[in-house]
Amino acid sequence: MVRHFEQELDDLKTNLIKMGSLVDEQIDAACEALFGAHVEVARHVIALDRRVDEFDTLIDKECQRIFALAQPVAIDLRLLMSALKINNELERIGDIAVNIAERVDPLVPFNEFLRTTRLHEMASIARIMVRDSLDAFIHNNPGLATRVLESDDVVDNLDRHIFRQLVLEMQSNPPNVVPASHIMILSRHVERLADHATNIAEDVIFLVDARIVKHNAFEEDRTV
Amino acid sequence: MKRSFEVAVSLEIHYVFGALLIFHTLGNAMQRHFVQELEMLKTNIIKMGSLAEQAIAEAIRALLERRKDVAHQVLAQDQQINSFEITIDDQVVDLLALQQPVATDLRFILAASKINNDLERIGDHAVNIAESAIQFTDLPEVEPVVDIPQMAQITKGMLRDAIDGFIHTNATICRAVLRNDDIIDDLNKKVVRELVACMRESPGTIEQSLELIRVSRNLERVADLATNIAEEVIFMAEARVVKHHLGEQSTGS
Repeated sequence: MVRHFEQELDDLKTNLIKMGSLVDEQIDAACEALFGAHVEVARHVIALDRRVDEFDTLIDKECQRIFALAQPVAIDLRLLMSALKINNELERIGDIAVNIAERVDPLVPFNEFLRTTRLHEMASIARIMVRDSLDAFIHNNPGLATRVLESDDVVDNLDRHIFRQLVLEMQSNPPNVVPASHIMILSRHVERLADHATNIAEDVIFLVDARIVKHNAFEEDRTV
Repeated sequence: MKRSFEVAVSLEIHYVFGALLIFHTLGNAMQRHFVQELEMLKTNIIKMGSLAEQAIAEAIRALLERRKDVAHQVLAQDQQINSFEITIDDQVVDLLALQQPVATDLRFILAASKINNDLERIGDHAVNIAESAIQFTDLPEVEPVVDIPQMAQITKGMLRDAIDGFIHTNATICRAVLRNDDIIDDLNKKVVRELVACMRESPGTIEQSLELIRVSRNLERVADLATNIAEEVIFMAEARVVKHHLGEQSTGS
């Protein structure tokens, strides 16, 4: 029975890792599609979402089964609760990758304009945050998770910077209103990527330290 | 001799009955305790749900009536929603750890845990809208706020129905929530389209339009979260996953 339970937990963790790397691939491809103006790559990102959703359902079921059969306590219970939450975050990250991919097509004619913003820099940081938060989970590393929390401010600041730049751009050059609106929304999507990475990192810290970081140490920021 | 034997037997019977009685009472007490805790969890979700709904309503009122004081109240009250989240999270862990529930109760508790998370995010969106209301009020007044009041009305209804559906395990109400989500997605797209057109024609209204786009997108996210709650309830009620079988997910714009 004990052996069986450990096995189930292991499987669960393996599936979360697989789902994590799938989502990571999705974000990578979404960024490549956006900044390289590759419409086919964008379609690939959208197609991948099915598999992410399948993982989401699978992991949810696994968690429920373990809860029901093994009646875990203390540390295992916390691991399971975190697994459920992280699963949820990953699924939403996948959705954001799809949202980004959907804006690739309308922005193809404005690729040069896109490159005048700092969105690329912002996206790189957010991607690293997602990757680090997953690594922190896999390796039980609260130090790495803490670094993710710190990066969130950088991303928020870049988001505000991009927003201000684009408002000026819209005001001085009305034909840029359409691409600028798309880029603003993309910037919010990237900002939400960072938020989800932050949520995962908070869960890792909660899991390791069993204390609630949320709503305490770090103030939440203005987002769309 | 015989007599003392009878006493011993009768004493023994007393002990056995006594012990049975104690176990029985204990069992009942534990059961009662569990039922009470579940009730408390329900009550807290209801309270948190109405706080979140009120936060959205007030944030929209602040925007439409240009009331910065109301917006600041919404910002202040988010703290309350956040503490509910922590309380409910603790309750869920306690229920899972101490009571080791199975089947229906387990599904209910896990659903409560997810709904808790969704409600907290709805609170964050109310904060975003309130912040937009403050910015918006500082800018010169512009004419129409397009379909935002209607969007807010529908979204609040979705949230209320999803929570009602959870409390009464009513999948039917929740299916209506899922249908409304499409209406909100369309309205959001329409609002964004109109405002982008407006920005192109009159650059003087760009900042106001951007705040309104932000509000519209936040409402759209709230509707998505209400939809998540509704999907959880349907899953709980029917013990199956609706989430990824509804065709495509809303993409927002």
